Amino acid sequence: MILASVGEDFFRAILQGTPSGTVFALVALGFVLTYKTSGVFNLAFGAQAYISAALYFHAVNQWGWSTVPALLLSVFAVAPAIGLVLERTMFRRLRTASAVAKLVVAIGLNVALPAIFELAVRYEPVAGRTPTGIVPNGASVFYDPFGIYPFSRDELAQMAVALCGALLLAALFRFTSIGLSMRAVVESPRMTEMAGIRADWVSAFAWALSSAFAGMAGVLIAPRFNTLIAPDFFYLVVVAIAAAAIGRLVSLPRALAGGLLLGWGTAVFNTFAPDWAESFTFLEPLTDNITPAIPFIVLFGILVLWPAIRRLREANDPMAGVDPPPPAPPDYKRHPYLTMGIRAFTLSFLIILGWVVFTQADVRWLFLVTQAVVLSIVYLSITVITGFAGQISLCQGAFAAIGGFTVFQMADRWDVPVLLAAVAGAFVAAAVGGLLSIPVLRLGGVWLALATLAFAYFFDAVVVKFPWVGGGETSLFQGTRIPRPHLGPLDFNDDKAFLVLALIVLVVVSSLVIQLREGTIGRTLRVLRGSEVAAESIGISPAKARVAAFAVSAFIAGLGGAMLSMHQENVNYPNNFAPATALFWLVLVVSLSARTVEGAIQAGAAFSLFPPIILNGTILAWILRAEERVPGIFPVSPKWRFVLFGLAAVQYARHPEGMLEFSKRRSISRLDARLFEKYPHAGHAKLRRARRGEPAARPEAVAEESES
Amino acid sequence: MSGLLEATGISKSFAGIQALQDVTLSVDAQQRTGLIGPNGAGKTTFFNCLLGVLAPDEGEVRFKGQDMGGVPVSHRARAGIGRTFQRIELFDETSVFEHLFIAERVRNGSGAFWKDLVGLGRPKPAEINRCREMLDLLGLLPVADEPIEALSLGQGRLVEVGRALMTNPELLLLDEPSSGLDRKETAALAATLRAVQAERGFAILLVEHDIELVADFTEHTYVLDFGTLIASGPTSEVLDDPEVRASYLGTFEAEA
Repeated sequence: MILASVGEDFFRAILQGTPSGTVFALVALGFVLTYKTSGVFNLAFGAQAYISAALYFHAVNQWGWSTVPALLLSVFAVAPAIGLVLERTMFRRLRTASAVAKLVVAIGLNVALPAIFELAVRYEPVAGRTPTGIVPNGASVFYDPFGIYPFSRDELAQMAVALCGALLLAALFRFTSIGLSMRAVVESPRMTEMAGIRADWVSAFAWALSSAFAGMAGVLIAPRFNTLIAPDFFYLVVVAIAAAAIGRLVSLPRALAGGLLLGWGTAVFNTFAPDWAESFTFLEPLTDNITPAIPFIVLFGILVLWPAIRRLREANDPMAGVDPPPPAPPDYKRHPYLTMGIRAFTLSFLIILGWVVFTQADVRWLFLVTQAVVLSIVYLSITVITGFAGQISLCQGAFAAIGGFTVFQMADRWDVPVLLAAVAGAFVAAAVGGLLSIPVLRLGGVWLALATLAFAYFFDAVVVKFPWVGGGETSLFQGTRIPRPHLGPLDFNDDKAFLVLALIVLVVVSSLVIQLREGTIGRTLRVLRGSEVAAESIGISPAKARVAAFAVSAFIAGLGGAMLSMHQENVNYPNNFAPATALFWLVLVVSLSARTVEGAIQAGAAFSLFPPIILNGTILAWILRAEERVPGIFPVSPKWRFVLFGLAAVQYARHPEGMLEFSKRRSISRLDARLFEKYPHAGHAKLRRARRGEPAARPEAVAEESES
Repeated sequence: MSGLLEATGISKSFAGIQALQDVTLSVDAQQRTGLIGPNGAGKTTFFNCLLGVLAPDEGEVRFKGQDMGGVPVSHRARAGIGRTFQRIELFDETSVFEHLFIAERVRNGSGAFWKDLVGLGRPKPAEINRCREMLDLLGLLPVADEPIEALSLGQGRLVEVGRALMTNPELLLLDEPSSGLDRKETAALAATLRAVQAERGFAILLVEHDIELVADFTEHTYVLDFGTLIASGPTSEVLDDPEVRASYLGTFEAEA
């Protein structure tokens, strides 16, 4: 009897998991298709799915279109067009870029594309307005073919469309010449090139096709979300990656199977987990929240337990291996007077800025400036891990949140002084970061980034929900309150006093980061970034240096997160530290400059001050001396920052030192040349030759010198 | 006999293709040994087995009498095996000096984490002097502070040699150092290497293609063909061996 009922439950779970499994499979198919034909790990897939879904929804609801034209527009016209544009304008030029660079580009797009779309069609997500599916009354009419699980019409539509998509792809591969070419590119790109097939055309077609798949999947999955917002769709793409990873990223049928397995696995888990939770009550928050996290756990598990997948990371691009990108202009060669001049200018600028803030700013501006300072601390963690170590970590938000939550818990439960708790929080974050880095370090590159992303979502969906982390239900009503610190007679409830404290912490952390950069760790990491095999050949063990980098980075993030929580007197996890926010942090820092301390500080300022100062037109009003003279386009939508910084991050492949840093170096070297041409100093002439790509000196001249 | 490096009975196959079969090679301290063979003879595979990049299917590598099986690349480097690369591997966006400095820091082992934190991680005068000595020896002092991207290939090779030598290796493995260089450059490199070796006294294993360089530079030579050792002995004898000539030097003779 029990067995029979378990069997029935199991069967029901399978049926229940099939619709979402088919949609996952659809995305996974598209994902593997682009990966195999162009070597790009398209994390912007989520954004593309979102655009199609939102456009469809908008066309039906706002413009009153009927289903078919709306579908034609969103899935069959706009989605492939976006794919084509991306391939032609961006990914094609990235063929020779490193896997990490491609990843950053995709993340930049993931931030920029939804904002561009929303600005273009004036779409605003409205909370609680559930998107409509492609069939009428999709969520309210049910069919029950097996008598145990009623399928909604939406679910049936999902399965039918996904099936059609898979069949279409199979037919395309089997019967058409472009399909044959694609299959050839997938199997062996070099042979394909030799056989005279233009791999770039094939890849363009594959991009258009897979983008249509992403769009279709987006439209199909949309009715599952309460509100149509972009971050939810980023979740979808990670699910697809998990499905693709189950299929080892090698073949389309395996990706399909992976998607189905993931859908079924989730449903089976949902069915049986409550029974297990009854026996182990401490797991209760797990079973409540783990469902959305299952794909991430699966992905994380696959990456960690099956490290052979990283070997595929070089299974790359048909056209790779020509024309590496030009090196960045080095920044350590300039006239000492110029360096002094720049320092004097920066210092006086900072002094004036400080004076303005401390004497003129009202409560609101003080809040924003302090936030900028505190965020700069957090961003220095990205400087360490991404700038110095060259690794993309997407879980810096989770580390920062660990710092914040530690302060909250320690202050709330044991009345520990908050400053002490902040330091403790930083150490907890460092421990978590160090531990996390050990299993994922072997992965490297894209896989490391994905593993950290999986961890970020796991933290978001599961860990935060535990009472001993996020405070459980009480925090829902009271928030995760944190008092401002006291230190003897100093009371940091005063905003100016807290700003001073934040500045002190920033200065301390900055000088620490500079010391690391100039010291053994920083040099070791730089050298590892340059060439791992060569670093090993002189006795450097990469893992040790990288664990240290992860732990330091997590420490700084934890400290910054604790400061941010103190500043806002609340941890405020969803607004401050959610995975999507942390993604934007990365985009900000790499687009400004990931390798310098100034870059992190500029990113902090950009996050909190760019919208109120620039986008609101405040600075323009100040320049024009009158609010009424400010043009009507102000205030500009804050979404523009996503567009601007997202598109700046897209330049990462060409300028890994950061767009702002690049233009800064360029203008400084021009200035240097103009000012000091008359009084050349060592290195000038050689540098100019190096920039033109000419050899610096005759090698035999050097060799002869050594002989004499 | 027991040499500095003893590789005994090394075999390695990839997906059914036998890349190396029972290769035995030894290098004595301070000796210059050559390993030659046509393309695809298994030179690079053998090299990687020595360095720990690949694990041999059979056979063992002993260095200074110690079994190196399972010892990772970086530990072998610290034990005293230095190397250069066929396709030059330099650290982008750093200076020439920094290439040598980091090797020196790893060698002297003074790079504790806490020292970085309190600002003691910067180069110390003694370390700077050692690096400058080496740069001087290699004739690289004039370009010490240049970005590495500004160097020519020949200079890059020398930087690689200098970087490897900063670890005080007892054995230096040179992976086709002449590739990409013209004759004049190769001769200059050989002269520099000879001078440095005379001063520092380390053994060299030269994996090469360029017979002239091997004939000129090494005292002892091994010849690989299709994954097996076909000859070994003093360089002049080996290069006169009819079997070696038949399998490999036929073209050389025709050229000459």
